[in-house]
Amino acid sequence: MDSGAPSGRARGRARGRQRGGPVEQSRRPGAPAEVAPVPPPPTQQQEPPAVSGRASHRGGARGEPRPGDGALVEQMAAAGIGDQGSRRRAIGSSTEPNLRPSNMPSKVGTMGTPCQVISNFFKIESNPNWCLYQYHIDYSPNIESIGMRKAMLGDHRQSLLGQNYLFDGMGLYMAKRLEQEETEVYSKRKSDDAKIRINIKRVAELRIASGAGEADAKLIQVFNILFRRALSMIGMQQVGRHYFDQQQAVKVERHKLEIWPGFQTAIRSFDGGIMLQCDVSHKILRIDTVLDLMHDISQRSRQDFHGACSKVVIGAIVMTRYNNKTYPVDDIDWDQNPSSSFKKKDGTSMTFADYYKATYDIVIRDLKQPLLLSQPSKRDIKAGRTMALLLVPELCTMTGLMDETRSNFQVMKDIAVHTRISPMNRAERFEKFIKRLNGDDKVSQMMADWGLRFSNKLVNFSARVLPKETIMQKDAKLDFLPHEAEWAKAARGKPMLSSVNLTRWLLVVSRYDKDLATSALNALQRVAPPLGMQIKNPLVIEIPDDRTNTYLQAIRENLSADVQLVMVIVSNDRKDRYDAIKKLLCVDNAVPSQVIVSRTLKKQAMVMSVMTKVAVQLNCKLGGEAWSTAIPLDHTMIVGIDTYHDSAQKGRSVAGFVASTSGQRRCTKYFSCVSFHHVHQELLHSIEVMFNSALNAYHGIHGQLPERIMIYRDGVGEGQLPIVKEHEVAQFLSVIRRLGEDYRPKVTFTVVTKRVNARFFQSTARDLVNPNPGTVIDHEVTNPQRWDFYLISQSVRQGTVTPTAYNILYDTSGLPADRMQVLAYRLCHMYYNWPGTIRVPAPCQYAHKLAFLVGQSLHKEPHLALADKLYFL
Amino acid sequence: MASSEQVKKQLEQLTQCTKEEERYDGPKFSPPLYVQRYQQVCEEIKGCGLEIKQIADFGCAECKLLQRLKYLRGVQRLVGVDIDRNLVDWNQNRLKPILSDFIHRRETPLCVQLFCGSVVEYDQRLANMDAITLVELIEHLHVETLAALPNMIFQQLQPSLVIVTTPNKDYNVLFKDLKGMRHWDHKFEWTRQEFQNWCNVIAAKFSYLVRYSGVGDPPPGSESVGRCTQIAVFVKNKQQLRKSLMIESRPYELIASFDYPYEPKPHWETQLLLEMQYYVCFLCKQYEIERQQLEADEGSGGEVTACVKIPLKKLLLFPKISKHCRDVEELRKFILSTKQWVLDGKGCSILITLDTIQESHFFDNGFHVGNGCEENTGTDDAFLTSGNNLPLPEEEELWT
Repeated sequence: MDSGAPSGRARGRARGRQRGGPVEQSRRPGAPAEVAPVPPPPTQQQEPPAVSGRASHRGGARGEPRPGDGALVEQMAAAGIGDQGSRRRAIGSSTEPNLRPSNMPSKVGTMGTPCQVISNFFKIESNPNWCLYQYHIDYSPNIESIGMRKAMLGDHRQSLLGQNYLFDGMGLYMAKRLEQEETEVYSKRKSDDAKIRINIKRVAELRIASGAGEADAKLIQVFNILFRRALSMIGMQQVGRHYFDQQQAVKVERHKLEIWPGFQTAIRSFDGGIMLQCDVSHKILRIDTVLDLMHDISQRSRQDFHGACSKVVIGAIVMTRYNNKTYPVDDIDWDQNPSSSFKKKDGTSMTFADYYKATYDIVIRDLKQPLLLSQPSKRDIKAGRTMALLLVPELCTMTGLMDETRSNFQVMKDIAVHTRISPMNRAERFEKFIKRLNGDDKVSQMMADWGLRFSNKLVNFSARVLPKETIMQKDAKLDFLPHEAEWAKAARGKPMLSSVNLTRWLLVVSRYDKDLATSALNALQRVAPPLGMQIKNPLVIEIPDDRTNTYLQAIRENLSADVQLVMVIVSNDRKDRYDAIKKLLCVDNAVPSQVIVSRTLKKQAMVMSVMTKVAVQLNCKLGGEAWSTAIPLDHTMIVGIDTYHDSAQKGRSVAGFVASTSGQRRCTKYFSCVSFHHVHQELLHSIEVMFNSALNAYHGIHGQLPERIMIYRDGVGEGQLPIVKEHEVAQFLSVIRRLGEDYRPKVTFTVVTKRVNARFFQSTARDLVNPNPGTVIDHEVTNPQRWDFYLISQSVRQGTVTPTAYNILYDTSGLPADRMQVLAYRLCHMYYNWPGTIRVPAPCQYAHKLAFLVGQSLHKEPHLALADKLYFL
Repeated sequence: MASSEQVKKQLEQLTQCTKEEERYDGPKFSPPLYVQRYQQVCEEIKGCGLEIKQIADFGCAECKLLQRLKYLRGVQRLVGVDIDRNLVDWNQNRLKPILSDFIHRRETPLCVQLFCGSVVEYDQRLANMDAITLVELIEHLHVETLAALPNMIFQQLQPSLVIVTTPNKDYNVLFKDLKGMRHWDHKFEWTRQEFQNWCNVIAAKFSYLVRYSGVGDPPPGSESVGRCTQIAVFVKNKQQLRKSLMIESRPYELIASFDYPYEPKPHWETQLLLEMQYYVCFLCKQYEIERQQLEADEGSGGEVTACVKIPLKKLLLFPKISKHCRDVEELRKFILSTKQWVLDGKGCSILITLDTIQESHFFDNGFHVGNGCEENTGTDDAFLTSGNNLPLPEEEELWT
């Protein structure tokens, strides 16, 4: 089997998402130290830190305090096992990096109407004089082993220390104050009866709200360890960084799935103090083993069994049956099976079957199954595991959803029943959870010993709703309901801001869909004039069948230099045909195109509304503008960047770069370009190139360079912020510097994060609801080390709205927080494919669309002549 | 921090009571001797012919034997006892149910308990054990404790099966650099003769049958020294019924207790129904893939067939279905009884109308016509936090 060849989009996506997911991070101990069979090392180079799309989300955690790391130290030693690749960290060794721009104004704004919101955070309460004592422990003669250090200190549990202390081998933390500044005790070493002196020296008193920095970092780590203990006391099952309540597990057996409701929690420092953040999460697991699945596939697709298997299994995260670990599957090794041998560390050989028998007492039934190959992650390499692992399918279960399942509407619907929760239910779950925690005898005993409490109430504080924006079209201002933030109806029949007439264009349709096409064309020509757009009759090309080649040939034969646009009507949404058409028109030629699936046109009642949307889209693709909001800044270039993995080439991502060129208090026209880069590579020089061409384009239009540059960067994980700050901002600045001494534009670099765990609810008389679009939160639950705010710009009809987080990493604009917030909100109104607000600033969404088109369909740089149009809409 | 090598060594000294034989320059065992020991103990329990539901392991230390015992069929209660509280406390995680225990649930319950206590103290919570194992324990006991042990195990607790292992002193000549005993804490090491004498007395006194085996074969030429570890297996004489002691006594400290999730097997009809639902859906997807391939090669011909046929024969190819139904006839009967599917005229295939498939197909690319695009606007869907993110479907109304 050609294992190197990726199997289309399914795989790309699976890798991109699944690897990045939190499941990945569950390589934790608590499990025995045995290593799985280790075949000879593949060549693997270590790469610089990656900043790219979701694909490398896993990078994470640089500088982000990892709840549980402390606990890990403990468990490791507790299990009495050698350090097998897990990182041991002493308490207090990680502090959150400061990411505030150097000249940051107050991050709290004042604009808008105040409103009370409730958020998914719980305060940690203590007595007013509470503090945590930190002691330093010395052994004489010195003891190296952490396990032995712990054991010896443990001898004094009853007599001196009490049950509740934390000891990482060096530092001892407890709420109890030892009378003497230095205390000496003695322990006996069992092996030789030697008397060991233990010196306990008080070194610090850590107080809550002593300000950011080391004390806070230590407290947070201690709190997290305690919290994790509490969670396991109430019987929550840990998977990665999430805790799941297996008692509430729901089986969806008809799909062979199980859904575990759970919580993702972290205690961190926020502007409002140290708090517990808590969000609902669901784990989806398959019930059957990978081998079962492979058998099923072999029955289903006999011809290309290997290919079909790879498609499903590669990229998935599997969980092994004998320990608590998860591994990403990178390949299937069809040449090996459980009776193949591998070399052990001591040089001897052993078969996999014997290994599992000897190590776990597991008998492998099927000796002919292939093996799954899992490459070490960067973290593994750091920890010393540099070789790929081979896993036995019979002993693996898949976590998460297969693409096939994901695309199955029925399955998704059945799952959504359990996973989509309204704001009210969500808040109730949080409060129930914390009550269960506080109500547990063991937990409350432990917490009381430590002198701490979790508040029973979610935090409640004031936020602001930004004023409603005005949407301007050519000669109308659109009105809409603030809580819906949608103006499709209001815009009906009103001319767009500016429009391009369609005079020379092609319509390609197979003979089966001829009638549908004719009626759609009529509808289009009827709806367009009121929108301010004239659409002449196209050259209709009727083709005899719907083969991809027939379409391509028809387009090629009829394409001439003056064709403005090609519309193609296809019989279904087959991806290869779509890709081929887009490639022909976006890469080989430079003609905007519109592909429509005939089924969309079948419902007569819908045709008019569909065609209205098509007309708006056509206009934008041709270079027209649908509407605008006022951007109160002159000569400003707004840049959006997002990344998407390339489905055709493993490990490659596409960066979409979109820069507004309107300049004049608007953000309606764009210059766009893409670059390819490897997942393990930074966008390093490519940003410079893209930004440079954007500036050229701007100069070409306005005869001058922009005075302000606002960059919105999407597709970055929380943990990657420091790298982005370090590398990407520098690239923008270096381009500017090269343009000469006197060019000093004001630059703002903002990272936009869609995946956040914060949730906000607004209470009404009897219910909790999603806050209105335009709600901005800039204190209490924001991060003291950053200039950040949360903005809810979109309106959702089902479930709980996810706010979008904005992190301003660099800023020389001198704009106050208010302006930053309003600007971001305004930009969320500017996405032309949706007559309403979206969850990110429009340039980011455009960049995403562009990266998606290139990553999924084109796999090549689009034609340069298209750069000034929104052809990728 | 010390190098991991150093740490390992010291840790070994501290907690090691299982692997001492590997440390001396002598014959090497593969798998390691302690693993062979555990395997042998498991084999003895499996092969004893008695119904063993409750097992106690005295001197459970790192709990590795218990970890294996939990996979034995029919076991419902496992108890580990050790005198070293810290050691058990640290190792209790080994016995915690792991994730896969929650997914592949047992069919019978299992409770694992760990106690701190001495082998010569009676605790009523151990009264009903079917089997007791003493693996590499007796050689760590002081004379007086050792003397009290037989009475406790064989008289008071009286399990049907007792397994005792201990080092074979005869074998020690093969460890070249071994001086004295194999472990610093060993109070004695016995030759085969000494061990068997001790066992024979016990067996006679308490009416048990004893036989001997061992693990760790000596290298060729040294067969006379016997195996590295000697094992005695005691089986209670059947005539003798257990006299239950009515002593109220709970001296042991409970350190941990784990209840494993379990779930009795559902009725076969329920199972089959679920399997059927799954495989029908699974095969429909295949139909779609094939249709697309066909179209790619030949074009769709404009019309799409109105329904999909899934031959019963094809369903029977899946072992999980054929397990319950031997032939087409049986499967047909079952399908008719469920009233969930429609069969074709001959009764050889299930018919699935296209609407059902198309609906799913329709959403394949997030093709939402007319209705708002929730995903675009960022509805919270739980997949975003489940670790597997639902791709934001193409949010717009049309493929561009």
